[in-house]
Amino acid sequence: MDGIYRTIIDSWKLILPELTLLSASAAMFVGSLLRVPRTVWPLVSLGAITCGMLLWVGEHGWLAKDEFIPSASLFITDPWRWLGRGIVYATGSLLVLSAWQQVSAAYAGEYFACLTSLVAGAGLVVAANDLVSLFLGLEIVSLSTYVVLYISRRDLSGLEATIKYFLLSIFSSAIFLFGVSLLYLAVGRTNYLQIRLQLQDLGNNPLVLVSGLFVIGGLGFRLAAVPFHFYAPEVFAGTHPIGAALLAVMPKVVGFLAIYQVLTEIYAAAVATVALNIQVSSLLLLTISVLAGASMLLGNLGALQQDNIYRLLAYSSIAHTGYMLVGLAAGAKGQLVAGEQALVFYLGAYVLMSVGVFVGLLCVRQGEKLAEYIDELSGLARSRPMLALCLAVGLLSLTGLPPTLGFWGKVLLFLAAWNAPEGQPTLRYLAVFLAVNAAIGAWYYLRVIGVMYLRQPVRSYDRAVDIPAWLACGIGTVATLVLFFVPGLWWGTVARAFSGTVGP
Amino acid sequence: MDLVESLRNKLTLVDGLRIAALLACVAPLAGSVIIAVLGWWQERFVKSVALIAVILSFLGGCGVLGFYSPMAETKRIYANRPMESVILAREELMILGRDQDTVRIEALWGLDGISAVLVWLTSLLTLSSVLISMRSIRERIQEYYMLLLLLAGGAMLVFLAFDVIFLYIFFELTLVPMFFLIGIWGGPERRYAARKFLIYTLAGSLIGLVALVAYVVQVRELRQAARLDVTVSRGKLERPSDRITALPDLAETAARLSRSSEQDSELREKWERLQKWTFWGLFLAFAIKVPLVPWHTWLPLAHVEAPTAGSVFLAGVLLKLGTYGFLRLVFPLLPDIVTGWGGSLLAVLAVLGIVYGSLCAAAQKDIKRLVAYSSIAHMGFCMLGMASLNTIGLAGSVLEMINHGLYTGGLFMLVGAIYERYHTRSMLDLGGLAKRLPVWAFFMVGMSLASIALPGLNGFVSETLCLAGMFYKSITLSVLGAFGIVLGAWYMMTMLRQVVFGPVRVPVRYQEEDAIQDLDMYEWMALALPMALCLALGLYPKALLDIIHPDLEGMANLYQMLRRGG
Repeated sequence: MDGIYRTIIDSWKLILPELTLLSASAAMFVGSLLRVPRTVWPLVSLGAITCGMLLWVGEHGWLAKDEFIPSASLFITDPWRWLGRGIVYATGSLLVLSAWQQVSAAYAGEYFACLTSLVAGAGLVVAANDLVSLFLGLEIVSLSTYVVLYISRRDLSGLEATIKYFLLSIFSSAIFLFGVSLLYLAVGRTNYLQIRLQLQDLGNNPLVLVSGLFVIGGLGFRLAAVPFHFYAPEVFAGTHPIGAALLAVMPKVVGFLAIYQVLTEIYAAAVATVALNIQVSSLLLLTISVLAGASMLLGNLGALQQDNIYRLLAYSSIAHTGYMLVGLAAGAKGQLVAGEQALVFYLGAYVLMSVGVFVGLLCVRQGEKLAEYIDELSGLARSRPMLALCLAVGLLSLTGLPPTLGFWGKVLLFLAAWNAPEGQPTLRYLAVFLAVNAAIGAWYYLRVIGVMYLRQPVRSYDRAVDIPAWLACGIGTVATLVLFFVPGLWWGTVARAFSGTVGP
Repeated sequence: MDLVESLRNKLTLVDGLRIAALLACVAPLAGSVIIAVLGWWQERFVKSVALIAVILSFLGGCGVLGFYSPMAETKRIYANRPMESVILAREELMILGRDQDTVRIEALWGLDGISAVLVWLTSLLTLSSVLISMRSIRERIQEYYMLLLLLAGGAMLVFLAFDVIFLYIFFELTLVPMFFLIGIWGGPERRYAARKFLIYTLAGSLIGLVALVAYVVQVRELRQAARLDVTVSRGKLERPSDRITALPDLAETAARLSRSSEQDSELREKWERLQKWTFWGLFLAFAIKVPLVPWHTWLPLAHVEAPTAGSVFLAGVLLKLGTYGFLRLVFPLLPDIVTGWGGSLLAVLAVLGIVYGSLCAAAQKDIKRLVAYSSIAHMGFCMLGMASLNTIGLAGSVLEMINHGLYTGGLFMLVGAIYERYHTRSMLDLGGLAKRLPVWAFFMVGMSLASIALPGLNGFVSETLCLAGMFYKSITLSVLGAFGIVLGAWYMMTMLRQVVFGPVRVPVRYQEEDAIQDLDMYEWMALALPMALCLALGLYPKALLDIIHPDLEGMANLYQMLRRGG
């Protein structure tokens, strides 16, 4: 009993970085009543994330204490979670940088407070060891996202986008919660470890499979996986680019880490049909394979027809969800490359390249008017060469062409799916399908690059300097390029985290 | 003096080769970066930087040949091991797998005879391309030279890459600058041409990538299944390397699999199935690039629309990437297929390309289009020699890569020069130019004769070797291919008669005697070197043959062994 008591008492230490972020966020909400320069808020936000990261780096010490009892704790830290939270904080700081000068002074306090709490929520999701804490984290993320979306663009189309996202997100939360409650009905526990133990004894229970489908569906909304993708193009096009950038990366990071967590730590233990020895998890993985194929295909086909750059990127983000789902479907047993490692590798790459592209687009502006249509980017290579170069690198990486990190990401996903264990021939088809889709994708990404480089400029754009956004864009672009030449840096980190060692 | 002496003792040939290869490929890349950075505020330096970079690169290319040729002789000892190369550098990228069962993905940079001559050719054509662009490119020069140098550096790295991943990466990377070169500085149809070029080659090479990655993974499994993992070689236990992407290792594994599967029918079946699928993937990738008829339709369009230097580079270097891909990947990695039906398929398609390309060329009125179609025929010769799988044919094939680069590159430069002066390329509008532009006419006749394969010029040597090699395999195909030379003489001579000789006929605007200047200094320099080499390699091809021979002999021996065994 003493161990359980100590675990419960000490579990706040596990989420120290998130607590720091949340208290900073609360302080910013209160402080936003004060009249202070706009720059203060992103600085505070970035400072809080930096503090959180320092605590996170120092977190090795609290790992694997003898008296720690996982079945009693709401949160847990293990190596892959540690890495996942690192990705969350890094993404958060890039988002803060990109929004630095984009939010009007009147709302800057609230905006950055919400962004900070969003990062905290995402961290909680990754650290969760209990369905309750998982849902708590997910809701913190959702609530912050609504506000962030609305503040960043406060006209009719922004409002429409926010409302759409709000309604669908509530709906997805409800679906997720329904799945969770079905699971609770079956096992009567919320802690992952306890659920796992119960499921092993439970045997054949259809509720578990159904709950798994609902949970995947609910999280699929966040990923914008087909058939839960309808909101994405509307919302991306309707909201401010910083909102679109946030939606492109944060829900994916959160959603993928949450799905991975739920699949491996809960459903992996469940057996669907004892007689046939079919695992619930393999049925769920099959579902995920189907979602992956559909997302890749519909995302790419949808993007082919777009003239609005944000709608195009929305469809491209749907397609990328599909690529990453392939990694998830490939599972952990791949001989050369484990699916989840390929997924996390790609997730990191995706964050870098998306930030590069979205923040780059943010800088293509004339006063308050941002470029919306692909044609408006005509001749950008001549009017703003460096910007066009950053966009081109990001788009090439999304295509999966060398010399960018996206190339290695796609190669690893392909290897993971191709080399998955015997008995899953669907995955080989999925691997080939991924390659075919990458080729389809090349068409529309290259079209944008072609417009920027081959046409004459039609409009002139401000040369205004938004240093923080440039910094974010630069970090994304340079990292995308440099990591192509030393992929071992990122791959080594990912591989170590999943083989159970913490640290870079 | 002591310092020089001690340095000379310390630096081996390999060091010299390393430095030369580094200079050859890094000089254009560095030049490209310098232009990208400097050009924003000092556009007038752009041309000088580009020129210095390509001159350095050419010196490096010559150095590669110079340092390599004494080594070529010693390589004969290893002639039985496929793809024995001089390792220049290696870099570990990633370690995949788990626990004890790990594999390494490594970037491996090396050099053998084939890559040495191709690097040299690339550096030479880059020099010519930059020289020929000095006057003709007037707008967006900073971006132009940046892309041209990037293209050159990327192409050289393809030839230096000895692992499948980087070979593929740089193969793919050359597409991007070429796309922009055609799309920005090309003719009226440039955008369509650029897009068609990109989509065709990209589609092909993506399929190739899938085939290649699948091959790499499957070969490893087969190797484990066949228990080839620990072998006794030269009296000691040899563990195979875990570098799954290194080309020499893959080639050796493929050879071993072919040999050891002769007794094991189950292994044989698996291995042949793998080879079959991989062959189709890689075949498509490289057949589009070479191009083999009927996948050639992007080529005339891209050539006609590309700026002069773009055409030179496209014909001289980028098409070679296709044949090089066959020689470097398809042939060593899929030995049973190429000794079987795959080789025959390639030979038939090659002959088809020769005849079809020549006939198309004969029908053209646009000189640039004519040269483009003649390229298809010449690449057909190259593939014909390669498909013969014996030392003679392979040597002819590699030599044809070099020679075609020299004279077709030259022809494109000459056509470009005419277009700049008269703004037409049609044979109907031009005639008797020998009277107006004597220097130009001299080069035109010389390059055309080399292209016809006149004895004494380089085309003769390589095309004869290709046909002679094929003669050992199939007399019919060889005879059919020989028609290509006759047809070549026909269309080139017709063109020469019309354009260079006969009564003067030029567009009305340029009627006056001295309205048009003959070749200027830059063009003269750009053309003189390839022309001199056309003659030199026609008279003394042994200079290059000695360098490539040991590598090809190794390949040919392997195929002979396999064929005898089967």
